[in-house]
Amino acid sequence: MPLNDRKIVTIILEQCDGIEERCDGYKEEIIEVVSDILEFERGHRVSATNIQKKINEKCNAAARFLATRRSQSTGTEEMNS
Amino acid sequence: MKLLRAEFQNFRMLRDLQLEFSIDPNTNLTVIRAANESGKTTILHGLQWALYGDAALPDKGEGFRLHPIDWDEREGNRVPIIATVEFELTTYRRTSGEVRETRRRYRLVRSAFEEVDGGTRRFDSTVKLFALNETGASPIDAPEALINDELPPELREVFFTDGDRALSFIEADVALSTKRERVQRAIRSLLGLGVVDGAIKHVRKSAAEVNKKAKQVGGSDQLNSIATRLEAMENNREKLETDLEDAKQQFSAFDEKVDEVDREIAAALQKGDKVKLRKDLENARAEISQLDSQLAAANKEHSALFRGRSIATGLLTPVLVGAFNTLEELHNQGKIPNTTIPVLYDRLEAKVCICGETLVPGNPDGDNRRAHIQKLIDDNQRADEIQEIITDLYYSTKSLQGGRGAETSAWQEEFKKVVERRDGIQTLRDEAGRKLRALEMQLDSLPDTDIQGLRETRRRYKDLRDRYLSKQSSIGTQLTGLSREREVLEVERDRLLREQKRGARILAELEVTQDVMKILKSAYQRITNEELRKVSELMNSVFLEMIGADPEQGSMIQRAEISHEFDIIVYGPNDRTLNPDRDLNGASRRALTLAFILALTKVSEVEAPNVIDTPLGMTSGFVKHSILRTAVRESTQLILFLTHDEIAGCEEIIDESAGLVFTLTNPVHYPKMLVNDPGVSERRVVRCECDHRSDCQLCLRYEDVQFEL
Amino acid sequence: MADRYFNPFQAIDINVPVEFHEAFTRYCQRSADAVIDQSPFPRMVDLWFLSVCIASRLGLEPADITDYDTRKIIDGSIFGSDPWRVHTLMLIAIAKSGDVQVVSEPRQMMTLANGLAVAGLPKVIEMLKEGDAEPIWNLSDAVDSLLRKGVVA
Ligand SMILES: [Zn+2]
Ligand SMILES: [Zn+2]
Repeated sequence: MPLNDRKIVTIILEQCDGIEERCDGYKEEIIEVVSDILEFERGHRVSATNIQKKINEKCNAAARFLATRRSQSTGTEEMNS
Repeated sequence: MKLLRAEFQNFRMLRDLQLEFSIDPNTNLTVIRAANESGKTTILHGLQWALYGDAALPDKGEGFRLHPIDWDEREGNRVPIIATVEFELTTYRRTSGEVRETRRRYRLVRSAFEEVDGGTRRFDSTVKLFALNETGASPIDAPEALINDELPPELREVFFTDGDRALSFIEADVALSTKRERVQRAIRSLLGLGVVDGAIKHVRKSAAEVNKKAKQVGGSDQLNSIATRLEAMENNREKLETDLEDAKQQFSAFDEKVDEVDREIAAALQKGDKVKLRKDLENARAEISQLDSQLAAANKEHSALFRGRSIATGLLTPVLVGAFNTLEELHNQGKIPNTTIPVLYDRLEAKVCICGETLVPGNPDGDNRRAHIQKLIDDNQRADEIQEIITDLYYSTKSLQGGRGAETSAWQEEFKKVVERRDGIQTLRDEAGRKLRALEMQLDSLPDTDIQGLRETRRRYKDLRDRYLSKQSSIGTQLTGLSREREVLEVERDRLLREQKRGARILAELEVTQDVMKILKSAYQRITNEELRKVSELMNSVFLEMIGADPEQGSMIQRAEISHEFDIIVYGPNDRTLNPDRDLNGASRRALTLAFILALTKVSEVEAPNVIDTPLGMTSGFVKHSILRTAVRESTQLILFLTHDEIAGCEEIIDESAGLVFTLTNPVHYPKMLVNDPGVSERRVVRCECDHRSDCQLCLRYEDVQFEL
Repeated sequence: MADRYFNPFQAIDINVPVEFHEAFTRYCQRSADAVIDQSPFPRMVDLWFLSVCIASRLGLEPADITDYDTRKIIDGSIFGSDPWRVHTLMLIAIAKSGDVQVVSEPRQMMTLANGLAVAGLPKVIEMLKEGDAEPIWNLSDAVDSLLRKGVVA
C-alpha cells in the first residue's frame, strides 16, 4: 500500500500507450511487465527480496514473447532457446 | 493515515498522558490548547519517536534523555518509556475496474528502558504493531515498513511541523540548491516516486545484464569489443551516479553547516561584540578606580575633621571665655609685653635712648643709663618664663576666640562640605558600580564564542561546500559525455546483433528493457511535472487566500509558485521576485510554508495528518482567521497546538471546525502564571477537558500579556 | 615667634587607662589602609584630644587618673608638631584653675588634661557608637548637634 498507489499506476499505464507495438500483443505484455515490476518494488520496500533476479526474469519473459512472435511471423527464430 | 489517539508514559515530562484526535471529516480539527512550555514540543517528539524511533529525535537521539528529568530513583532506576499511537489507514484496491476502500485501525507501541544509575543508559527501543479488530489485536510483522510507506520518514517535517522550523523551505540563508533539495525530496517522497525511481534503477541493471549476453554471443570481435566497452561504461556510469549523489548530499550538508555557523555568528554579534564590551568594561573599571581614589581623599578629609584645630575651637570657645578674659586683662595691664625687650635691645645697640639721651658706653651718663636698661631687660627676662608663655599664648590663641558669637562654627562648615563631597562622589560611584555590573553580566551572558574562530570554521565549511559543488558539475559533464558516447555505441551494438544468428533474442531483451525504461522515465517526468504544477498552483491559491486580508502584503504579493527547479518563488508587481526573508512579513512567511505543506499533502491525495505547533504565531486579525480557516479546509486531519494568544479571536472558527478541544497545563507555571496550586510536585504535563472557551481550577491562568498584537 | 616656641610636654608621656586601649585601637587609624569610616581618628592623640575637649565642653570633672591602671600610649613629643594643642591645653588649665601661673607647670597641666580625657572618653565612645551609621558619621552628627546646642550650663 504505497502512498500514491492509484495515481502512479494510472499514470504509468498511460505512458504505455506511447510505446511501439513491436509485435501483436506486445503492449499488453509490457503493461504486465511494468505492473509486476511496481509490485516487486513495493514488496521490496517491505521485505528484502531478490528483486533484480525477478525483474531480469520478467524482462526476459517479455523478450521471449517478442522474439517468438517475430519468428512466427518471419520464421527465423530458433525453437530451442 | 489518520491519528486516533496517543498515549505516553515517562516520555520526558509526559509522565502519563493520553491524547485523542478528531477523525470526523466534518470537524477534522483537533485543538490542543497549551501555553508555551506545556509539553508541545515534547509531544511532537513523542509522536515521531513512536513512529520512527530514535532517528526522529534531535541529533538522532544522541545524548537525548527520554525519562523525566526529575525521576525519583526510589521508583526504581530502570525507567520504562512507552509511547503508543493508534491510527487508521485507508487502503484502496482495484478489483475489476472498481476501487474498493478499506479502513483499518492499528496500534503501534514503542518502548524503551533507560537506566538512571548516575548517568543515563538507553537500550534500543522495541516496536510492536497490532491490527485492531472487533475481537482484539493481532500482531503484525515488520511494522517499520508499514510506517515508512504510510508516513515516509523524509516527510516527517511535513506531517509534524513546528511553525517556526517549517520556514526552512523558504529561508534565504541556505543555498538555493539546498532548499531545492528539501522541496524536491518532500515532493518526490510524498508522490511515491521512490518506487518508480527504484524500478528505473533495477531495469537499468537488467539492461546491463543483457549487454553482457551480447558480449558472449560470439561471431563478431567487434560486437564483443563494443559490448565490453558498454559494460565498462555502465560500471563507470553507476559509479559516477553514486558519486554525484554523494556530492549532492555533501554539498547540502556543508551548506547547512555554513548556515548554522552563520546563525551562530549572527547570534554572537547580536548579543554584543565581546571585544568592545571588554573595552567598555575596562573604561568603567578605570572610572571606578578614579572615583574610589576621590572617595578615599574625601574620607581622609572627613577624618581630618577630627585632628584639626577647628573642632577644638568649636567645642572650646564657649568654655574658655574665662581664660581669654584673664589674658585680655593681663594685656590691658601691659603685662603682656610684646616689643619691650627687643626695643630696649635696639636702643642699647643704637646707643641712643628713645628720649634722645646718650647711651654711649664709657660715658658715665651713658653707662648709668645702659645699666638701668640692662636691669630692665634682666627683670623682664626673669619674669619671662611665664611671661613668654602667656605672651605666646595670648597672640597665638587670638584666633581661637574668633569663633565667638558666630552662628555656626568653622567645623560645621567644613563638615557640611565634607558631607556634600562624600555624598556626591558616592552617588557617582554607585552609578559607576551599577554600570560595571551590567557590563559584567552582559559579558557573562555572551556565549563563549570566539567569533574569529567561527569565521574560520565557516570558511572551511564553505571551502568544502564549494569543492562538492564543482565536483557535482564535473561529474555532470562526465555523465553527459558518457551517455552521448553510449548512444552511439548502442546503435552500433544493436546493428551488429542483428547480423548474428543468436542476436535477435538478445535484441528483443534489449528492446524490452528500453521500452520499460522509457515508460518509467516518462511517468517519472510526468508525475513530477504535473504534480509539481498542481502543488504549485494549490500552494499559490492557498497562500493568496491566507494573506488576502493583509492590506500590507496583499497589494505587494502577486503570486507564489514552485519552479521546475523546485524553487519556491514569490512574485510582486511586474513579476518582480520577492525575497521571502526581506519582503515578506512574519505572517506571510508562515502562511507560505503552511500553504506549501498543505498543498503537498493534498495533491498527493495521501490521507495524512498535519500536526502543527504554533501555526498562528506572528499573525493576527483577518490573516490569522484566514490561515486557520484555509488550513482546516485543506487538511484531511488537522491537529493544532495553540496558545491562548493564538486562540484569541479565532474562537468561532474553532467552534465550527473542531471535533475535539482540550487543554494541557504545566503545573510548574504556578504561581507565576497559574491562578491555583495544582498540588503537583513533579514536572509533568496535566490534561483537563477545558475547551477554547472555558477554564477550570487547574488550567485557569492570569491574563496573558498580549505582546504579539 | 615659631622659633621661640617650645613644647612643655616634650618629656611627658600620655597615659591612658587600660580599659580604653581597645577603643584607641578600634577608632584610630593604625595603618594606611585602615577603614576611615570605622576608625575616624588619624592618630591616637586625636581621640585623646577630642575627649579632653568634649569633657571641657560638657563641664565634666576631670577623673583622678591615679585610680586607674594606665599605660603610656602617646609620647608627649607628639605636641611638638601641633603648637595649637599646647596652647589649647594651657588655656584649659588657665580656665580650670583661674591662674595663669599654671602655664609653667607642665605636669600639672597634663594631669588635668589626662583627667579630662578619661572623663570625656566614655562620652566620645558613646558618640561613636550611638547611631545607625558608621562610627565616623555617628561621631560627626553627635559633634554637630553638640555644637548646635551651645554650652551646657
Ligand atoms: Zn630715655
Ligand atoms: Zn481546565
